[in-house]
Amino acid sequence: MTSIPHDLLDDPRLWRAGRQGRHWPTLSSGYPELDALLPGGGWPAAMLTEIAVERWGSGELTLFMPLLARLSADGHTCKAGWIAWIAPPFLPYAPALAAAGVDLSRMLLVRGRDAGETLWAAEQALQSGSCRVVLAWTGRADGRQLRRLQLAAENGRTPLILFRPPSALAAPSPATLRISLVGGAEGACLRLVKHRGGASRSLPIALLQER
Amino acid sequence: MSKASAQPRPDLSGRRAPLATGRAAGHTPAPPLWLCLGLPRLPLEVRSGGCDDDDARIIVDPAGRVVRASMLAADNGVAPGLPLNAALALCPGLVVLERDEAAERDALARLAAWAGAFTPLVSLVPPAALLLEVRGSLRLFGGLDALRRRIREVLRSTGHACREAVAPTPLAALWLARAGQAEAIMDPAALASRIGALRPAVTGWPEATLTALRSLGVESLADCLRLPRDGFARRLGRGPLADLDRALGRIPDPRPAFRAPPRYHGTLELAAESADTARLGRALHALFAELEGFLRARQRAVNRLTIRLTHLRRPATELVLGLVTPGLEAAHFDALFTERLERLVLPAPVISVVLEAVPGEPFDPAIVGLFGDEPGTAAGLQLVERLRARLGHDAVHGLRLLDEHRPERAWRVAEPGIDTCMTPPAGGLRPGWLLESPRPLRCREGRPWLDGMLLIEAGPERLEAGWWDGGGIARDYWVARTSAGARLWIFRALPDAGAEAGEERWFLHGIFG
Repeated sequence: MTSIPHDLLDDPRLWRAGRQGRHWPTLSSGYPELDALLPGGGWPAAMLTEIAVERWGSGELTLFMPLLARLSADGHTCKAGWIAWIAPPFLPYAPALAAAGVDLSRMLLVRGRDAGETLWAAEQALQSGSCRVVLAWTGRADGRQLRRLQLAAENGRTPLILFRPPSALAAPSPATLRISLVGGAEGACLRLVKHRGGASRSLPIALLQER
Repeated sequence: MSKASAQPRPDLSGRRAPLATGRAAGHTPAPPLWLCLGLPRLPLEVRSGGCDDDDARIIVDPAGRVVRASMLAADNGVAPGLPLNAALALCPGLVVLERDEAAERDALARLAAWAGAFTPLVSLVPPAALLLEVRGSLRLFGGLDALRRRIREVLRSTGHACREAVAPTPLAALWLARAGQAEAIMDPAALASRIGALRPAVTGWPEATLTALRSLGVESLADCLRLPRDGFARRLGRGPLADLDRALGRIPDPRPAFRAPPRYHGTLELAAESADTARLGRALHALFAELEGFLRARQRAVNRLTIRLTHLRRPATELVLGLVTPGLEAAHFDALFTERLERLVLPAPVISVVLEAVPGEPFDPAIVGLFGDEPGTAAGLQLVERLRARLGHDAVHGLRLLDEHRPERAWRVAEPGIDTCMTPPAGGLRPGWLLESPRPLRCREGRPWLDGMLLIEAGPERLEAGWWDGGGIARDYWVARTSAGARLWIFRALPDAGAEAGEERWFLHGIFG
């Protein structure tokens, strides 16, 4: 029997079932159940995460509130880092953010007139390295544009959370993590659609308890 | 023999005359060192901003003689001094421009203001040279070579051809620059031999003097220096003699210091009408680089720049670039302008660009943290500027709280990064998303309806406020859930709330994202 060449096993493109190691740096979501579900124990720290949201109001902000609160508070000590909101579908409501513990002075809201401007602004925000996290909402984005964003996130060492319509899940994406939020009468359910090294799992959002 | 009997008379080389610079060393301050910047192509440059010398063009004086020819024209044999007819005969497609001496004076003054970034003493030598006393600047800029390299780089990036020379006396530096001799003279003792190798024409003496020298068989300044002083003065006048003495440092040559105007105003005429943004960017880069030197010389930064793009027979397009923090770097201005240009629709081709700026507060380079490792403060503000330059000022903002019970007035847009330090208001549950304005909901059987019956989860929370300023509200807020599971923030307008009471009683105001 021949042995598998060693360098082939080390190739990061090769995924082997049962091997969980080799994780990327992550940021804790602030919810223990969610951290347990997410590969590596949190949101990817410098990569693209795609979230397909079926309907606004499914808890898409709740998922990130503890993270935003923590990142904005960190920012206070070294006076660095925007929390960039690029082309959000509605106004992020300041009293709710403040009540969740988010430091409003770190908020950077950007309106884009079209998908092109949204993606451009997101890329600029990532590349500048001056954002703690970039949240962006866009419907249209092709694979090439997503790859650019993924690269910009890696270069700028900034996590990008991209909110997409559920139809976007049909197209392949270079995102490290793809999540879908599916509504239901009992509240939305979070499902991992794609992640490197792991089986598909899901979690009802209503069960999330902040640590 | 006459040679032996002749009384040794002092000649111009000064072998017997003591050098003014040759004083006892040790107690004197370091002797000055002059850097001369000659701008031989200035007449051409002020009339062809942002141009890469891509066509044959000449500048003619009012008498119709060629003052300066572009590379392409010079390749065809057009040389300064030729009559216009002869130039046109040599090179038929020639673009002929009249000399604009006022623009040259302005450009030279602006370059002098820019050169103030390198030394406190800059002196103009009209029409096209600057003298910089650089002895005191050598340590700051890392030596003479580094300083010269830096000056050359900026001048090249702004499209100025330059000849520079360095010598202990200003006149020697000027002559060397005119002769195109770049090798620096550091030692005053070497002045006589290096100057001697130059031709008399570099001195800029009147034509009659130069002719007289030629008739004496004088081919170089070394020949001049060998002539007896009194005879030289008698035949050619005191002026040239004094010039030689100044160049050799035997008599002092004080130079008036240039004083820059309080504000920057730069104009650059484009080579041709152009709507090409790359060309506009190049032209403005030249002005931005001048502005940077102007500001560095004063240790000042600017908050805003005014750019005017002038068109033929049309009012100028005015752009104002706002900076989040005061800045002075040309590269930063370039980036802002490029972003701005991308969303600008030019109404017509541009014929010239004007840049204006008023130096503002003192430049504070200490923005970096104590250990210089805090990332992002400057980068964060630059990001805001970049985004604003392309998307518009109002498209980028921050958030702040207001002390107010009415939900739509409990917040406001603000400059990003403004710390309000306000504690969140007490009150009921607030949604993460707020609609720009409340959206009326349909009712069925008196219950609010949105894709199905809305299920009330919590409430009511009564908000009744603002009756004192005419924008009064009286609402009962509820948390409701749609049949698909989305949580909403809805309210019912109370009947006595005058203005907003209509047929529709229920409104959607927020979404619990």
